[in-house]
Amino acid sequence: MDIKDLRSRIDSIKQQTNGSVHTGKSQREKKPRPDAGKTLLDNGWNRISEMVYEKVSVINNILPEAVSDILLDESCNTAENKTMIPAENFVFYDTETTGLSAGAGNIVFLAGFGFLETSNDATTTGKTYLKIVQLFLSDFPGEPAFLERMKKYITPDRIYVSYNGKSFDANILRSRYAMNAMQIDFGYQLDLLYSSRRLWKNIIGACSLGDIEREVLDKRRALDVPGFMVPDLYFDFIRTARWDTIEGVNAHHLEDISSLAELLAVHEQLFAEAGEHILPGNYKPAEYIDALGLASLLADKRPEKAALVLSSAFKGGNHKAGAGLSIIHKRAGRWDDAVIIWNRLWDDGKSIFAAVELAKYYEHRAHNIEKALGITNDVLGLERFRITGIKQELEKRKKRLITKLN
Amino acid sequence: MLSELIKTIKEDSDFKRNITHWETIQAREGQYTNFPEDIDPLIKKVYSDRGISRLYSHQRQCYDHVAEGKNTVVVTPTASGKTLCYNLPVLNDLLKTPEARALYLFPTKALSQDQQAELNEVIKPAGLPLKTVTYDGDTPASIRVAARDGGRIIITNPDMLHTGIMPNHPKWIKFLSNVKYIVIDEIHIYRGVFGSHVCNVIRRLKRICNFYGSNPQFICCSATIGNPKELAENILETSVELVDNNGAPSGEKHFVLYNPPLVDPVQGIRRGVVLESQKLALKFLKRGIKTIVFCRSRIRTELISSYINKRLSNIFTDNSRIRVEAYRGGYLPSERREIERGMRDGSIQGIVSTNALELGIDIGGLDASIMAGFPGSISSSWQQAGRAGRRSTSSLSVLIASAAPVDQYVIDNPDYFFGKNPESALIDPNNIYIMLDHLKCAVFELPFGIDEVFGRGSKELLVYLEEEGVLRLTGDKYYWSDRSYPAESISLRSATSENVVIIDETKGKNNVIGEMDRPSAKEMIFDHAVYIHRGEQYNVRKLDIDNKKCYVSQSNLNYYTDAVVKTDIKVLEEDRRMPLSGAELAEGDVLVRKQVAKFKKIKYMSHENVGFGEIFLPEEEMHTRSAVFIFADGTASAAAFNKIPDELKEHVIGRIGSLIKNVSPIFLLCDGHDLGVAERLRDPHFNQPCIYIYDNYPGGTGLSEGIAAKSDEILHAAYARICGCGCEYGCPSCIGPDEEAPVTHNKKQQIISFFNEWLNQ
Repeated sequence: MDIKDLRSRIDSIKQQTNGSVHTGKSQREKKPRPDAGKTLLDNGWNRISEMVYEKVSVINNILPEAVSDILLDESCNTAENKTMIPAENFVFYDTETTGLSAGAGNIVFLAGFGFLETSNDATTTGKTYLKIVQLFLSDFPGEPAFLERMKKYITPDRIYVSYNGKSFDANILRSRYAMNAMQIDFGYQLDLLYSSRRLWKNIIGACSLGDIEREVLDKRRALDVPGFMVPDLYFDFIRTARWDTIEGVNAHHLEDISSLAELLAVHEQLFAEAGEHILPGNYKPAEYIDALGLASLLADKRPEKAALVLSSAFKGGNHKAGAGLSIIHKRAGRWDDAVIIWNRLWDDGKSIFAAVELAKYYEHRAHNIEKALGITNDVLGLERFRITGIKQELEKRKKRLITKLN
Repeated sequence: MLSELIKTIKEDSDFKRNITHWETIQAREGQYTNFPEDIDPLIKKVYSDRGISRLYSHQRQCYDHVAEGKNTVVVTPTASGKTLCYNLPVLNDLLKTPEARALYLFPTKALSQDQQAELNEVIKPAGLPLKTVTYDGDTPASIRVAARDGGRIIITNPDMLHTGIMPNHPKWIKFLSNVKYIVIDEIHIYRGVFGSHVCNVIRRLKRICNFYGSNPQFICCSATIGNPKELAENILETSVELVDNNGAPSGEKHFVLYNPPLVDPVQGIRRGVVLESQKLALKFLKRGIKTIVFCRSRIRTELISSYINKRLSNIFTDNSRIRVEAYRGGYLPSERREIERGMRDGSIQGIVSTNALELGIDIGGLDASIMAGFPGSISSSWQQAGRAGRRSTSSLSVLIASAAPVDQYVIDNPDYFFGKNPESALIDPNNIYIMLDHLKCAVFELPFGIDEVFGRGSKELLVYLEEEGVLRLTGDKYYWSDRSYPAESISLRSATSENVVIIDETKGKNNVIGEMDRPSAKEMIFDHAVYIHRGEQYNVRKLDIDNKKCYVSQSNLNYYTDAVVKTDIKVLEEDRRMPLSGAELAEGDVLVRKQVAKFKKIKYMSHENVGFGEIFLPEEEMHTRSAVFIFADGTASAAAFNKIPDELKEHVIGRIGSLIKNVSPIFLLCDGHDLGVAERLRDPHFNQPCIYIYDNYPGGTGLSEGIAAKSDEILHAAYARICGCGCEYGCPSCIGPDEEAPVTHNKKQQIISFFNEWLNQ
């Protein structure tokens, strides 16, 4: 069979299915391609090389001068054991790609980096603002130049803030550099998806950046491009070079990066005011924060703040917060505080967790075997164990306590 | 023990009566050489600790070829130390060259795991710094990164390479830029359409390696087929050295053809293959002979193993201290590993298997193999027979013929079996459908230069893909410009990967006991079916095809079930019709439907039919392409066909169909299994007698177009085949097996005369 037969065969399939097989592309108008650059240049983009364009936008800074280390782990060199890191060290970034899955055929065509810069301008000297640089690739062969230009914004000593899960953007960029035999040294990756889920998942459900903008940042986008349409809009652009096809994508992308900065600012504000219950700001008020989530983010690096958050939630009747708080007390050796909470949890809600903790406390710390046995018997009488392991543990404990008593 | 047995059965009049042929293959001395000088002492020690202090000549020959940088294919029988042929040069060089890596390809996951275990046995005791990882669909995400970055040997299958590894090659940069060896074991499996796919996968792999600056060398292994060197060269598209001088010793081999006795000589009914093989296996096992029984179906595997176990069952003797297990696809991987281990360590003495054990899974040495029916091809038969036979002692293989015509033909004509070359494996890597699919994947993986060549005709295909909007030509290169991930929707095999999970609900349990592919599930685990799993009987409560689950509970019925499958072809669209010498040929889209509408209940042991049941399941449909030979009114073929007596018409058209199907693969470079055939005395669509030859891959792979283009050559080849066939009255190689035809005439002569008239010879 040769190519002519193949064509006629595929055409006949198309006819049979009323053209539903390959709709779109082959039917899409192929207009003569005007100069792609011209329309871009009219819209504030600068030409860096034949197929690479750059646009700089400046918006007001809402970040504090320094950001806490709460969301960073020990692999972050930028933090260097500091509890507060200058905000200049953070870069907010995002990419748009030609495909929705990973893979070698998925290309980054738009990348943006937002960072703080202090003005040297005579009138505004000393004022800090958020500068967002967007890089746009107008056709495939320009990729090496595009990546080369991007290196300017990728450094090992800064913290790269994204919102995607599993460092999707960083991985895809690493792949692009690898395929073009170029090296990059990316800084620490901070993905705000994970912390946002802890803070808001139980309250707003899904936590896409769009959901967070709407529910937390209280931002409405007038005309937005749904993410799944992005690849096709870009393919339209490279075929037609019509600026209007891609304009929405670029605007959406700019908005995403500024949202990242706002979202980090919200995190900071929540951490700063944690436990104080007064959280002024232009986002929704504090009762919409998941106290357990906030405490879990704070627990590692700011246990005293986590305790405050949990304590106020416990006072409001949240038993889980009480359990969390008691663990913090226990770790800090504040046994009396912990015992008070366990007793209350046991008396109010017959909490198995609290009973087990009390039994352990009486057996090993207070050395009151009778009391330990008493509570163990009480809890074994409950008959509502979902985890059989706990019951077995308790029965073992009971045996041991009886032996100890005798 | 075996020699005693051989002596006894030779004298056993009961047994002797049924033997139609006894072939003795002389024992062979091993041909040994020393380890090459440049082998690392550490590796030499690992092997000598395992009792290997010198090499067989073919192992050395393979090593020398590889050391000279030549691509090599090794063809030797089972148990000839084939694995060492590639492990020795690879391990030795990987140890010497710290950055070098190797990729091992196996056709199934089970074989990959087997190889992993074998390599571990070499690498672990010596503490060789050669991290070996199996990377397939079952590899947990948590170890994937470490595997990619640190794996010196990666074991995988072509499907995973195609959908998982190559499209993500930038993640594999470290591995792919250093890959020095690619081992392709069981290369004979890659034949026909599957082989054509694999050739294209290799084309893509070479492109990517080239991009990263590596130029790997290939080491392949094949079972005995007619054209191993040619197949390897076709798949790799480069020259390959052949190593086929087996230097491994082998004991004396006895190959016996056994025809079960007639129970009704008038009707020609013989004792069944199931009971005969069970009887023989018992005879062997009781004498302490390790035996494997090969069956043609999963049901038979379970039946024969449970019959054997039933006969052995005795609480006082602990079943005579003999353990027999069934082995087939659909068992849980852990069960399979346990059985394989049991065979190797000797705790299992007998095994009843489907052709799943035909490939190189290590189950240790066996003394006897019994084939319950002819396996379908000569090369399969030798593979199965090869399972029996250790290096120094003698072995016995028995082929028990079923009543099927092919089996009876083999019994009547032992030369067909012992004198003929094994089948050749053909591929057509430039098949336009297949290449088009892989070209998409290739462009996704790396942009394509306009002068780059992928296969014959690839440039035109790139233009076509550009017109379709999937590619963009800019700056002298084609770029992937589509949002999709092409490899995801392209399958290398015709079989669906959708599996039905079998769940045991006995007494409130909820255990997964096995799995089965969807089309087989419809034929084997329909509602009320009896499902046997490792000898345990279950009754199917509900087959939930939509959710891919089948609920069963243990049962104790005295029958098993067998579905009656009907295949039907419906023409969807006739694209064109053209005249053909003395007939007409049509081409178009067809729907091949398989319907299981009822099942038989068959009593154990006696195999009486004790009732029927209804099955209510949707048909299994395959939309594909077909070529149709029509004996159209007014043509020479119709005139010739009209002269055939009515009662023979069905048989004649069946034989012509078999002939055409048998010769077509040579012209289409496909495998026999890639084509389906259906003959119609009066077809509802064409209203005339006709023969469908259809493409056995969903959607079609261009085979039917190939038939249309070469129809005249194919017809003349069919004619030449029957005239030139060495048989006297027609055989499976020419006119195929045909059932229950009254043999009152010379079938062969009848077909030749028919062709003479048709083709006007």
